Amino acid sequence: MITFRDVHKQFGEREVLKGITFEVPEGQILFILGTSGTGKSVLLKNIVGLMQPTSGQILVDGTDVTRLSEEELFPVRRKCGMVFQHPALFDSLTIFENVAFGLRKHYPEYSAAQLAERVRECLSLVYLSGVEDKKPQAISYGMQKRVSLARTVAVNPRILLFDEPTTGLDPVTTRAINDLILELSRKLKTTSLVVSHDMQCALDIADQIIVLDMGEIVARGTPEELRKNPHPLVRDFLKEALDAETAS
Amino acid sequence: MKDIFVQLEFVTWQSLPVILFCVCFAAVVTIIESSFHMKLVVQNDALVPGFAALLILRELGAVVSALLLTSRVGAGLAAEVGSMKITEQIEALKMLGIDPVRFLVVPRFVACVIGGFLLSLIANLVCLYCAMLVSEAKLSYSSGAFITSMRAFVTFQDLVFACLKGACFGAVIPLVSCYFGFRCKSGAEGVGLATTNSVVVSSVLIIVLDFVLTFLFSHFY
Repeated sequence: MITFRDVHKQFGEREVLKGITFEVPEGQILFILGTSGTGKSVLLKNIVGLMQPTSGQILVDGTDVTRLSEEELFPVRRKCGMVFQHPALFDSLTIFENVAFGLRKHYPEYSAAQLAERVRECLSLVYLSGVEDKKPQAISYGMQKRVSLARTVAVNPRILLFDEPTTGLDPVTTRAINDLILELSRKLKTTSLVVSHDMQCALDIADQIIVLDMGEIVARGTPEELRKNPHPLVRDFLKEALDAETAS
Repeated sequence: MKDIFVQLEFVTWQSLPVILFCVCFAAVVTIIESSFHMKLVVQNDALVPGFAALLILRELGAVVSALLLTSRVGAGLAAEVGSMKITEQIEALKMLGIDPVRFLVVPRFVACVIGGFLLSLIANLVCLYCAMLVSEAKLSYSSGAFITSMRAFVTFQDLVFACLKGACFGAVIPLVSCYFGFRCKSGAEGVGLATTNSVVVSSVLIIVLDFVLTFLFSHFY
C-alpha cells in the first residue's frame, strides 16, 4: 500500500505539490491525471526517493520513505519498478543486456541460461522478440518503451510506477502499451500508479483516478465517479476522451 | 574491473595519437624558440638541450597532455553523463539498485588516474626524443651531446614527478566532468553548457594544480 499524507514539494518559490493526501490499496491501478507542469511526475519520483518532499509523509508498505538515505531506500526501490517518461535504456548496451542489467544485480545466483530465459520471457511479455542483440537506437521509440517496461518487470517489482508511458507514441502503440499496463498489473498482481494525460485510458483500465491541478487534487474516485464529476478540468479531460471515443 | 579496462583503453590508447602528435609539435617549438632566444640574449645556445628537457619534463609534457585529455575525455564524459541525466538513465540506474557514482564515476576515475600517469610518461619520453631529433637536424647537436647536456639539468626524479602530475591531472578530469554531468539541466543547451563548464573548470583546475604541485615538488630538488 502507498500512502501520501499532506505532501508538499517546493522548488524555490514555486510550490509544485500543495498538501497531497491519498492512498493506493494493494493490487489497484491508480491513474494520476493533470495538465503539464502540475507536479504529476514529481509526485511519482517522491515515492522512490528520486526527489524528496519539502514536508509530509509518504508511506510505502508502512515505511516512511521521505527521510531515508540512499542505502535505506534500496529495499524500497527493490519493491518498485519505474517506467520513465523517456525509455531510459542504456545506449551502450544491447536490448538483452538492458533487460538483464537489473537481473544481474538482484539475482546473482542466476546462471547464464536462466538469465537468457528470463530476458526472453520478459521481452515476450511486451510482445518483442528477435531484438535482443540490437542497440536501443536501432529500434523504434515505441519498441524502446516496451523494452523499458520489460526491464522494469524483469526484477519482479510489487509496485509499478509509470511516468507518462504513452507520451510521444502513435495511437496504435499507445493502445498496446495501455493494454500491457493492465495485463501486467493483473497478471503480476502489482500495485500500479500511472501518471498520464490520457483520460480514455484511465477510464478503461484504472481502479481509481486522481486529477491534479496546480499541485492540488481537484477530483478523485473510480472511473464511474469521475464521469459524473462537475469540475471544469475533469469535464475538459472527459470531453477529449468522449470525442476520441466518438471519432473511433 | 572490465569497465575500468574499457575506460583505460578509451582514455589512454585512443588519446595517444592526438597527444603524441601535439607534444611533438610542442617539442619542436620549445627547442627552436629556446635556441633562438638564447642566441639572442647570451649569444650561445649550448644549454638549449638541458633547458628544453627541463621545461618539457617539469611542465610541458604533463600539462599539454592533461589539457588535451580534458578536451577529449572530459568533454565526452560530461556530455555522456549529462545525456544520461536528462534522459533519466541515472534515475533508472538508481531504480535498478545501482549506485550511479560507483557505476559511472569510479571506473572513469581509476582509468583517468592510470591513463594520466601513463600518458604523461609516454608524452614526456616522445617529446624529449622529438626535441633531440630537432636539435640534431636544426641545431647541429649530436644525440650524445643532447643527452649529455640534458643529464646536466634533469634527473630521473623529474620524470617521476611529471608522471605524478599526470596522475593528479587525470584525477581532476572525471571528477569535474561527472560533477557537471550529474548537474546537467535538461535539453541540448544543458548538455552543451555542462560540457563547456567541465572543460573550462578542468583546464583552470589543472593549471592551478600544476602550480601547487610544482611548488610542492620544488622542496624535493
